[in-house]
Amino acid sequence: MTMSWRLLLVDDDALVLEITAALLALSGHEVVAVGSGSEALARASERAFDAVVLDVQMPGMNGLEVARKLRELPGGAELVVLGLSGRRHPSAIGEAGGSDFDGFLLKPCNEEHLDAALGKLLAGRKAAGDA
Amino acid sequence: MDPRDMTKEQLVAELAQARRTIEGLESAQAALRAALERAEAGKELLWGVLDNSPDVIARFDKDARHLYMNATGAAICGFSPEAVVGKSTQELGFPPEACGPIEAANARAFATGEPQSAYFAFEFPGGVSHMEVRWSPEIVDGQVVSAIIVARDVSAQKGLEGELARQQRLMRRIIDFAPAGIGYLNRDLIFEWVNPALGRFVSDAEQAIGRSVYEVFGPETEAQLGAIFQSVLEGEPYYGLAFPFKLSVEGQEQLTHWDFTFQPIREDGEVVGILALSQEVSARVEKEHLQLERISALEKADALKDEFLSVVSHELRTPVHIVMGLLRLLLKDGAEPLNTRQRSLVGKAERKTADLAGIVNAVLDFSQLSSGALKLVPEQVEVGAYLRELASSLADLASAKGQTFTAAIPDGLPAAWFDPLRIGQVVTNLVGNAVKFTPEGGTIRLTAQAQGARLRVEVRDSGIGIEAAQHERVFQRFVQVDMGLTRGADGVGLGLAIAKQLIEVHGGTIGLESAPGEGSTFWFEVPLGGP
Repeated sequence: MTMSWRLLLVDDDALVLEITAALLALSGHEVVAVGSGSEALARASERAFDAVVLDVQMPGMNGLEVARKLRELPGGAELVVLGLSGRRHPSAIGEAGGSDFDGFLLKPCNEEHLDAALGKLLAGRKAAGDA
Repeated sequence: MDPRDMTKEQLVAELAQARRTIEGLESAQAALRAALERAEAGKELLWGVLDNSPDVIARFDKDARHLYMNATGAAICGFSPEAVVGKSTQELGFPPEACGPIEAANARAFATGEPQSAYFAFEFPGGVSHMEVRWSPEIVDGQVVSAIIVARDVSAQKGLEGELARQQRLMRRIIDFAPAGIGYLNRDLIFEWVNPALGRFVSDAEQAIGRSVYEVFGPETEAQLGAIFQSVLEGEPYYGLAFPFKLSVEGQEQLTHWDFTFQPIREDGEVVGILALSQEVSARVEKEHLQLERISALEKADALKDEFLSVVSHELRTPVHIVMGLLRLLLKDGAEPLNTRQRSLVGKAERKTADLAGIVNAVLDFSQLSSGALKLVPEQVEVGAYLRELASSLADLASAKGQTFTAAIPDGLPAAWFDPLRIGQVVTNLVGNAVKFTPEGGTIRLTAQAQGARLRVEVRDSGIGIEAAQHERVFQRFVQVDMGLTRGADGVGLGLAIAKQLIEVHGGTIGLESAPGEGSTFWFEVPLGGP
């Protein structure tokens, strides 16, 4: 069974962003890809997404700040936010206010990892919503 | 009254009187005789005592001629006691080095009437005799008539004194040549004595004696040493290691290091002074410094290596992944599909890139485990569901090689607390190895069970097996047991080393049972309650 989600993809590395977006699109998802935190917030306030895949280390507004502001948007509390982190291990970020994230993946990760992680988080969110 | 005029009665009385007188005289005579006999016996006793005295006893006239000499003295001279009478010391054959002092002392005794003494030594064939001689003048009517001489052989005592002196010299030599500074401080912290080695430390041994320790060591040392000396004077020994001191040696200042001992010296229970021992340990300290520097350089190099590995593998991860993403896009893009040959080539490139990503990840994990930078993210895991999911993702590995993969995960496994990413990595590694070293058509079996407070997971294969001698080695880094197979995805030999460390940071153990031709069972156990 192929699931189709509306995804917002945020990464400052243009090539990574392009490849990941293309691969997720090939998996059947609807993907909006943006290169900065402010752009991500603009898109997220325009329309609803099932999930946001957010690079944690970005110049300007970093992922932690973006995640906190996403939560402040209408419906932001229910949004699935998946962090992508490179240098630092997710636990280190968790200690520094990672509570706005539903989960983390270590960068780099391919579309199968993303699919699996998002599938798990969205299923959990749906179950919680149905309950 | 004339007796002729006496009456008979008077005569009788007179006779009786006379008889009593005679009897009295006879009794006095007997007493006198007895006294004389006693005196004679006393004289014999005296002569006996004199002759048996170990000392030479003699009596001299004013010219130092012998009036008497006891048997001891006569025997030494080789004469009979009678024969020595009237003879001078020279005539008795005394050595010239004895005659001079004897005659001089005798003359002084007669001139002054005061007791005198003389000392001389002379050699004889058996050794050296040391004689000590005393004169007691005998004075009659204010005139010295003779002198009683007592001469004592003090050779034995002299020998003892010589031995004492010899021992003292030996002790002195030992102390002087000891490679340790030895000094004695009195209660006022004044140096009463120092040996030359301490002299090197205080620059001049002679100058140190009689001066205060702070004057000698420098006034600035009082702050450092004052409390120490106080406590030593209260009876507490002090040991100090590798004190740095700047010494001026031939005009050149030089940093030296000394071990110190300050030992309280007691007399009748009271501390009367301090024995200060010091030993120069500059060479040892220098060696230790060099070793520490070497260790620190090695530690830095090791940290640099970890840092280098970490940075390089991080930097490699992103481009490798981008290349892999691009290749996957090429393969998946249905809008402009590749032809069969292109597809095959891109597929091979993608698999090799996946291998490369595996190596980069292994190196990164290894560097983080080595430096302790790898942090576990433990969470509560439903072990049954977790392992079944893992097994289903691993089944493809085996089926791709025509092997049968089964997972026997019993129902009712308890929940456990661990890092699912890292435990998954270990299980994947063990299954990956099993696939790699098991021929086509072989079987691989994953099992799990709870044993007390531990979770045990086993991966059994029907592969080529590993001989017992290699069992320890397979968990060492950069080791891949040569089994005639080409190196696979994890070609650097880090997989099992990483697996072992990941299990160990979880507080668990990993191991294997295997024999050549009988397959291998790799297992690990982790505490259910978490690391």
